[in-house]
Amino acid sequence: MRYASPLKMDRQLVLGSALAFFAACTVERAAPDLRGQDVRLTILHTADIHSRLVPYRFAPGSIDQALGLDPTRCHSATYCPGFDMTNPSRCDCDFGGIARIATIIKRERSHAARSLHLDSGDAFEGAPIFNVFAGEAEFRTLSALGLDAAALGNHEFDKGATNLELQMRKWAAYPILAANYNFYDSKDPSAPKLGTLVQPFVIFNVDGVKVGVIGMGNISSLESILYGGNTLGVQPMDTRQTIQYHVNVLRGQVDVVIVLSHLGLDEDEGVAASMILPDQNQEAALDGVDVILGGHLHIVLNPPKIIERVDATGKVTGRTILAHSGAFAKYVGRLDLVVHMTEDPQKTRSYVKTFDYQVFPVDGTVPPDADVENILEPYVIAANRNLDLTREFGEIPGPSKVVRNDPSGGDSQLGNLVTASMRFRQGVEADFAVTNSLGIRADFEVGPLNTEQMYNVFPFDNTIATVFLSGDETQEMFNFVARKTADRGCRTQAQVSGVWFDLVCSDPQKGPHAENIFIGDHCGHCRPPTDPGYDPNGTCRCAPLNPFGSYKVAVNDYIANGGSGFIVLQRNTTKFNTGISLRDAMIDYIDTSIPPCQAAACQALCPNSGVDSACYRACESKACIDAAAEPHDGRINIVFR
Amino acid sequence: MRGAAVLLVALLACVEQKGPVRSGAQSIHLNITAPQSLGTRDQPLQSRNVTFDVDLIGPDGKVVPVDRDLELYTWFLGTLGRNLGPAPSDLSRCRGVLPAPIHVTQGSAKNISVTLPLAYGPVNLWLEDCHDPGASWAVGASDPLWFPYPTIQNVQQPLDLATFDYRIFADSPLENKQVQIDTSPGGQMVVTSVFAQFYTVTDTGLSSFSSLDVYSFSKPRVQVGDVIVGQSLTGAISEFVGMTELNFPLQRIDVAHSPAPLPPPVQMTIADFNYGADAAKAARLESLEASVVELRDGCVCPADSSYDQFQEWKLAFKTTTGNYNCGRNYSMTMSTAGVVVGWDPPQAGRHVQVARGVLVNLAGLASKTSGNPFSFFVLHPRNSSTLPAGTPPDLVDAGDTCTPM
Repeated sequence: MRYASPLKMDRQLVLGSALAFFAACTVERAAPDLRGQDVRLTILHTADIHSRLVPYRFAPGSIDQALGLDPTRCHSATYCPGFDMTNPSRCDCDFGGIARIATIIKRERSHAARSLHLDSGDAFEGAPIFNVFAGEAEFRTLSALGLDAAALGNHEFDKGATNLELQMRKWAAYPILAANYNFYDSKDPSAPKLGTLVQPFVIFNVDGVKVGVIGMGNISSLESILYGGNTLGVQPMDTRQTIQYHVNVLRGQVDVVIVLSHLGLDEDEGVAASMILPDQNQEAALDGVDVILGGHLHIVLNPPKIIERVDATGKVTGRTILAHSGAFAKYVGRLDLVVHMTEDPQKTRSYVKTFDYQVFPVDGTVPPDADVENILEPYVIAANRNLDLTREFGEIPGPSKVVRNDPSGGDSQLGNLVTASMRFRQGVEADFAVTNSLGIRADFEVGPLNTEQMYNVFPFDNTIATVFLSGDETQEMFNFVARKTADRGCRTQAQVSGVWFDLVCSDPQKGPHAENIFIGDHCGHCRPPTDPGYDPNGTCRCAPLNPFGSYKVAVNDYIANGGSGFIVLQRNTTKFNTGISLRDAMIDYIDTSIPPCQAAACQALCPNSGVDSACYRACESKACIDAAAEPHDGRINIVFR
Repeated sequence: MRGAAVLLVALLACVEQKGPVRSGAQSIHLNITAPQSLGTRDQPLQSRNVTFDVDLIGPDGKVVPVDRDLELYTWFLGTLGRNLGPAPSDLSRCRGVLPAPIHVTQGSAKNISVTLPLAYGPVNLWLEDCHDPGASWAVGASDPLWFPYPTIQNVQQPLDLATFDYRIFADSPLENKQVQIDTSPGGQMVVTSVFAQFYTVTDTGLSSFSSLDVYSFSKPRVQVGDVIVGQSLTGAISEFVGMTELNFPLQRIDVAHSPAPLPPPVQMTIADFNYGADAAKAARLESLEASVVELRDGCVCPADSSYDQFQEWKLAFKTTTGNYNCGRNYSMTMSTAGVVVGWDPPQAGRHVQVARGVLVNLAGLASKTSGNPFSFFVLHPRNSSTLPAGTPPDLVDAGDTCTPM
């Protein structure tokens, strides 16, 4: 075999490199002349993916159906193998999935002259793949589908700032933005160095259209960052000032300014508008933001809001387009902007003349993208192996699913199940239990209940903590729950077991508060006869709250540490973290305390099967979470006056 | 090794520098030639006839001499309408399915005349090159043509009352639009009720279809009697079980004129609700959606399954024979739970002198497949503490008893 001399090889390589360089550079063209023209800029938008990288079972409600998430679309042999028309609710129609999103992104990019894909944050937390891989799979797949930039969501911190830094360094191939976070410049070598990774903004030159994207992290749900010296190393900055500062920096350099936000809807509206109400700030409106792409609230704004800015005299001075594109990988938004490019940047600026917005549902009719699916596959296999995700231990026979939010606004069946599992857990055995409603992230859908769904419903790795509260402290805690509930459309922000109370959402004299608090179960007949929740049948066996009494309370460790504003728990010095996983406690409670399905339910679930069939035997062996299992019973009774 | 590094650098550099493939049109120039004035917010257009010229512009800023079919839409209130008509569907827009209305020859088309559909606020004509194979996806939009903003009546009133489907009561012509609502001439938009998750507003200058339900999800940031500034009330219109709603609202309060006197409640009898197959009668009920109405002389019925399920109870009114009848045609469904103190659970036989409240209709199809319509009305009395001082309560007890049947 002959070898080329090293020198000769180098020469060949250099020559080849030069040829390649110039060949490649011959395709480079001068920047297009866009002066005075209308140009399409397409923004593909995702938000709050929450680790739903793998399609999941879910029954869309009326709002999702109106947005195109139609379960009947997958009721065919093509999309739903083994679909049984005699029992359509049993079809495992699944939704979401990052490989499907990749297909939509690629398709829509091919239908656009100039495009960007932006994500509004919270890619982490919400499915077991995050519990196992801590964000690696999310960053890798989002990078693979060519995401251009993302806002930093609050759940990106769920496994700590150090984990976020590690995952970003290793796997995130796109800029992550948060202009309103000032990262501590710590000299401590062990402290996270997020400040070196997270950017305030990024500028894209999309074939002649310059786009400035300012990222805004969440503040309202990261209450810990409001305290100095927090472990996340983040100091939040004023929203309006931060945006105005960066708009001032960018506006003269770019054609379009986009705020990529994880602030939340109210905050997004506040950014765009002024003088919404007389009691709100009367500052001059923010000028120069063309588009806000938001997240955090898990809603779809279709059509987007058009927020006009008015001055003190009521004159309209500009407008901002505000779009939210849903959550849990259920939708991809497409915002087409018609950008009128300025003739002379020295005299005038480019502006968004008009727009169009569409949302594409991510359902079984969208084929998965093979490249992204290949990246995902080893994570799925490993997560299944580690967590036994397909193990079924319960059955929701229907016809109704087990809901986390009761239509009454009071206690819910799922909330009652969760808090019962906390309270009665061996080693806990508390007088009553309290958890925050938002810690329960989804309903139990009709059908088999397996480990994977438990991770979707309880994604947080929270544990049970116990705390001793006096009666006065208990009253203070439920007063806080009432105030928080009143602000959120009077839908209870806590779920309880072993305690009953009236949650007064409005009271002209006392404001929102809790009253008629009784410790025990089935306390409806303890209420005053004039009370809406009074149960005339039975004898009161519950004790009214004793202000001087001491109660052992089971709570989750998140609120025990002051999360969601439970300051009364945060300052308590009797806290004890049992280390018992909330999710494990729930699985054990269902396994051991809820009786299996009866014959009638199993016959309905397995309509074409005999009693010896695998379906029937599996049904009989699982806990049956029907309407009788810890139903809504009015323990949190909503009252207005 | 060194050579490999050079190669890598060279390739990287060229990948960085390489621009996207660009050919054909990159922009569409749409120039309106008539009318000469496009109107303003304060002086909107009346005529809907528009004439315009079109040029396809290439990367060099010059007209591209190609023949193309272009798709034409109108944009108003936040969404596109297909071919000057209803909103495009995912399956028809830019799929080459429907004929494209605009043909350009050698890159240009002149003196194209169209008549715009009913449209409100600023309207853009929107042209795009997405119809033919090898589309450039270039787009162009006209400067805005200004038309009057919609009033509550424009949101609520079906376009054609003659074909109004009274079985399902879901017929807002602006459904799925992001509306910006103006006050009618001489009227005021007054907040008439505030509940935990929604409020209602009535335009006092309108004689019918004058009220709207504004669903805020969280506690509304308005008070009963507040006057809302014209054109400041914005949100998306949707039909929720037959009820027209404005969702995700924003509004500004006219502090100088608030609180304003509340419009008087609409006096009704239970017979007004028995529309049967009478479309005109049903249309009147539709026109009163979200209004405050008043009924007199009722009798509380015993709680039934709807109380167990929805915490709603029935108020019976007299038949021609003088009996209080709890049947469907003589009773009104009442919703007081969590709002009005002292009326839950219902005390059968309680005689009600006056029952006022916001009128909500719930209607639709029982399921997509059955096609069976359902429809009934619910009266939502307001919490007294939300009403201005001196306003009588919505539910007034007559002080004696009655016998519901």
